[in-house]
Amino acid sequence: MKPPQGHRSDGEIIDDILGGNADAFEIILERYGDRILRILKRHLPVDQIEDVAQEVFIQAYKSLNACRQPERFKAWISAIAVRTCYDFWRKRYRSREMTLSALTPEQENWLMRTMADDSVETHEMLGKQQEAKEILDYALARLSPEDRMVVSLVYLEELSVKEAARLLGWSVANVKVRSFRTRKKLHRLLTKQHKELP
Amino acid sequence: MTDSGGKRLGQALRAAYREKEATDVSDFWKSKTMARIREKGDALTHRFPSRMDLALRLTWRFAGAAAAVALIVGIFAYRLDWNPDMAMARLYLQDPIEFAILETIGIL
Repeated sequence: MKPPQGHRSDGEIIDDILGGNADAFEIILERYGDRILRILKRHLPVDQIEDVAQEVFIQAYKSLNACRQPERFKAWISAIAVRTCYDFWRKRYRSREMTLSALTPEQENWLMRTMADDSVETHEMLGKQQEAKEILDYALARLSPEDRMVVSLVYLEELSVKEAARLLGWSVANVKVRSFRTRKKLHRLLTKQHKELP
Repeated sequence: MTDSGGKRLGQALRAAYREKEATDVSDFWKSKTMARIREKGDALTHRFPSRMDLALRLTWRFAGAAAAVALIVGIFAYRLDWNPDMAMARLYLQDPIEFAILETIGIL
């Protein structure tokens, strides 16, 4: 489909920026800001989103001359965002800033209600409850940064292994193996039984 | 835990994960990002360097080493008292016939 009149393609804007017009980067920021924020919101603590969003776009600006397929800019900048999230968790784990607390009675109750066969609440209703987010954070905090990224992309976002591998810059085999192991780990963490989550 | 319980847990966790997107973030980060980018200015100039640029870069990269080699050879030649004119004269005196033949056919 032909872009509307006055709409500049990503390639044209990138050429403009590389030609010395740094202000043109604002168009990129407006065009992809929301998409990148959505990625960061899923992966990072709320108080880190703004700082990391800046890092993602600065990184993209600095390596703009390495973007050899401007028509695939969206995929390119999304991969930068995902890898920046991975770097964030690696740094955080290295500096031992992770706090690991046990499940509270409310959270355990949420788990029981969710897994009960006679539960009347839908998964959407359960997922909106505060306990659901806390349990998700509880489980993810117990995984390595690599496992955390893989489980988030493959299990929670339901991306294909190939797509997750492309975003992370890892091999498909690596993501496949990690995904398989991490699902089991996540399952054990939450149920203390040895059945695979669907 | 039953299969349906596990399935519901998985779905609830995915729903909780998607819920994270609903977090509000102000747009202030965008102006901060642009300010930082303007600070950096037009540090980026060319998408890909031209062949001429590459050749110049290569030349300058090896210019120091080439100058050092030339200096060492010069000092070495000076210390050996090597002079091309003297060497030619010596060759002519040693074997004038061979020298004349080689010079005629263009080897010397």
